[in-house]
Amino acid sequence: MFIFLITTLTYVGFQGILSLGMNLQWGYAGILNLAYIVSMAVGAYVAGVISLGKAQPPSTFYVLGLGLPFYLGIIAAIAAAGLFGAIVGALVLGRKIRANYFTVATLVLAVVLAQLISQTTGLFNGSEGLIAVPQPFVNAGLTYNGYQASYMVVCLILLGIVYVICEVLRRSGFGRTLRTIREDEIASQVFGHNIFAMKLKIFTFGSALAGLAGALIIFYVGAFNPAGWSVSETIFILTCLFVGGSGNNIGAVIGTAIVVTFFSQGTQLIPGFQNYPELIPVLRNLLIAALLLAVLRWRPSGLFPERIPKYDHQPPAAAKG
Amino acid sequence: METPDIVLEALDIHKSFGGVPALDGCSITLPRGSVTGLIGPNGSGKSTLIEIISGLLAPDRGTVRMAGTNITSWPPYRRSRHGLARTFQVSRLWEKLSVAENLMAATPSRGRDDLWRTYFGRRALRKADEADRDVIYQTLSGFDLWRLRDEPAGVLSGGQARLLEFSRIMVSGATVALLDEPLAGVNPVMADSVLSGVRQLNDRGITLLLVEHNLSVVEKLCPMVYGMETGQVTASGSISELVNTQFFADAYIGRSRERRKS
Amino acid sequence: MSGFGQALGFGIVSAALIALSAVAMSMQFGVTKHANFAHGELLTISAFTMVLMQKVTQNLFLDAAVGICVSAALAWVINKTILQPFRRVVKRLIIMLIVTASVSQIVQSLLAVGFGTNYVVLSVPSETGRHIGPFVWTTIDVIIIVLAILVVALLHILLHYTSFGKAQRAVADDVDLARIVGINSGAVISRTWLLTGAVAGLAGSALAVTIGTFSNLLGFTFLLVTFAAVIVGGVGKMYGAVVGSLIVGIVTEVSGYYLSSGYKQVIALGVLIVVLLVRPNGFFATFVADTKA
Repeated sequence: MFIFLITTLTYVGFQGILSLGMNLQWGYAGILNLAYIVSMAVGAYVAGVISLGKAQPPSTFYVLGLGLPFYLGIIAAIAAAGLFGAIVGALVLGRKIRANYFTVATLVLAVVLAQLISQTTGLFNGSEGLIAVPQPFVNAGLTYNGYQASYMVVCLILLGIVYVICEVLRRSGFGRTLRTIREDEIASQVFGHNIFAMKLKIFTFGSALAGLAGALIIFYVGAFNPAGWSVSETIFILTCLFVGGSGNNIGAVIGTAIVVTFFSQGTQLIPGFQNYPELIPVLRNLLIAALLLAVLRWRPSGLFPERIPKYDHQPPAAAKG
Repeated sequence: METPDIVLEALDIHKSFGGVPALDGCSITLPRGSVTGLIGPNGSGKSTLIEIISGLLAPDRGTVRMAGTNITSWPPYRRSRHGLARTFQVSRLWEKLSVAENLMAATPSRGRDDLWRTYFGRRALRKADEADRDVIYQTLSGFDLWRLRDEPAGVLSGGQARLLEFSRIMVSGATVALLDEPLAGVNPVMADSVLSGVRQLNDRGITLLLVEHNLSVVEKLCPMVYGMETGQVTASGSISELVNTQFFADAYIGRSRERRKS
Repeated sequence: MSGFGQALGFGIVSAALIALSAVAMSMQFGVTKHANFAHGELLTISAFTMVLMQKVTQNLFLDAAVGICVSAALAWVINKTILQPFRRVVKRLIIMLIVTASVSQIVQSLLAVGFGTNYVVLSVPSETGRHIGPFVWTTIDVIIIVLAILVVALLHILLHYTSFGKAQRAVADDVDLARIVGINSGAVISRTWLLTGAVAGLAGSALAVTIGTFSNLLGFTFLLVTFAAVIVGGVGKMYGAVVGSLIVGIVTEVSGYYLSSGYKQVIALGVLIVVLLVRPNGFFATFVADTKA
């Protein structure tokens, strides 16, 4: 039970970061990016090949293999995922593509990139993926439980930092402009906002956060392959966001905690079926999608709806009398 | 005779959709401080002209100039920073933002759209917010919207929404504004306050182009009116001058059918 | 050169398959104004129905007919029970994309519960291709090409010469205007889904017969090339979808002749991205009508 709790909270840590990053894109700016999960994958792969030693053909094939310390891996992951977001954004945002097409294009991109990575063995070891990624401080003399607990604490601290970053953004003029883009981007342009630049910035920013989450995941699990970033993972993040309340950072985190605990980690407690091991993940996907539909239908603003900030200005007249 | 100071001009604008011309060599000029009317039957190209002046549509041919600068190829946000603002036939407010936020987001950015300064230049941004407070308060209370400052803009009535759109123009620092049928969707009870809103905009020195169907409104507000038909300006002058023209006969007395569907 | 001719032949068959799926999607997209991420599952359900029906009868045409009915029924039911209620409460069309993505996930999972995630097999009589001009086609290939042409012709007649077709085009042009002139848009949309499901079901059956072995992800994988074809052609334009299918089908197969076949979908994406960059609303879109998102 102790280890279940630790694992769950660790997952809440990185899934929470993922949800906050998506909240920047979807909750604030109203951009539905189904290739979001690819940014996470970019972060994971880059962190992996930076910290892994040289590839050893014929058993493994991958680029780089620099054997650098983990923190450089994390920094590179954030940078690479941000760069990826910027490239995708520059390609598909801002042109006169309707929101509908844009989302379709991101979905196509996500699926095709997954295929490309699986097919191309030389890049990140194809469909086998990266394995035996060295865990940071694993030889520092901690017990197994102690290590797991420490990793959890690190993840939750990072989640806290990301939360503060996102919250500062929400309260800023930048966040306000993003919300105008979500509400009516035509009006936004007509009042002097360069919406392409704004979208590109938030796209890059959100992707970079996903990259951080990806690095945390690969260092935690020690392995990463294309099965870990299918389209259903994007649905999972969307579900977390909608349950909590899109546009609300605390909602995003709590929604993630709820969905991860009850739907993702919880389903692992169901005893497996001997002759059908895939049934549990299948049921998990089914439940998540049904939950998303139910929330959209009956509580579209989530458990914690977006709050409208109060305007804290005392008018000069009112001050006088 | 001295030529009046021209703030905005659209010259020889052509635009066609899928081979069908919507604007066919249309030209208008707005003298500084004026309220100019734009009338014409449905589908005569008024809306297309507004979209082209505000930069939401690109013309096939022709020039848009603002205070002498050629802005034809500028994106909408750049035109806005240069002093152009507008309203829409159906109000385009940011509905889930509060009334006050609708104004804060319409003030000139002054670095607030800069991600870097959001984290590393917060003091300057706070100053920018402070600087806007008085004008936001005055504008909102001038239109009796101050009490609604924390309400989401989506709950406003049609008339209030119009006034909030006017408020946005005021705080944006615009010198020219295009008003696309400001009375559309406004309850008759509110019509007078919307019209006085139009006058207030003009009193602040904002040059206005007013698209409107109601001729008595146009007559009251606009000393100078352009009449459009099938993508061209076919008449100009005061309403009383226009009444006796062929344009008026065609467009408003109904000798000719609508020549094109909108 | 004969290798190229063969690849071109495969390209045409593949284009016919894509076209069946794409005209169905294009019609639905044009009427409802939102993409349907569960479109692929309409194909899958038809293919899986055929597998089940093979236990009853070996006649592939009969199996396919049942598959088409099931798929049409599924499309109709999804619209009635999920999409229609949502459309009444949802303000932003983009939410409908998330809804259909969830539906796709649900149908996929249900199929996995019923059939597992492994491959199922549809037994198809084996036959070798014959040379027809420069191409090498099997009887099934020829049937599929003929069917695709027939379906496009029938849809043309349906959309241009029947009252349903006229009503449908009115709804696609402007729902509010259609309502004002007395068209029951709900019924039109409902029937559009039924038709979309049937045509998509036919595409699914044809696809199943062509490849024989598939999993519950059959349609989802095919969704991508369908999207590519529809967007290349311009949404809501049937002949655009046909031309888009030809481009995507032939480019992917012919490039597959030079590259590893694993990269087919990557090529389809390449086509899509190039088109989105050059003509954001498809080759056959005349102008950007909506300034709304």
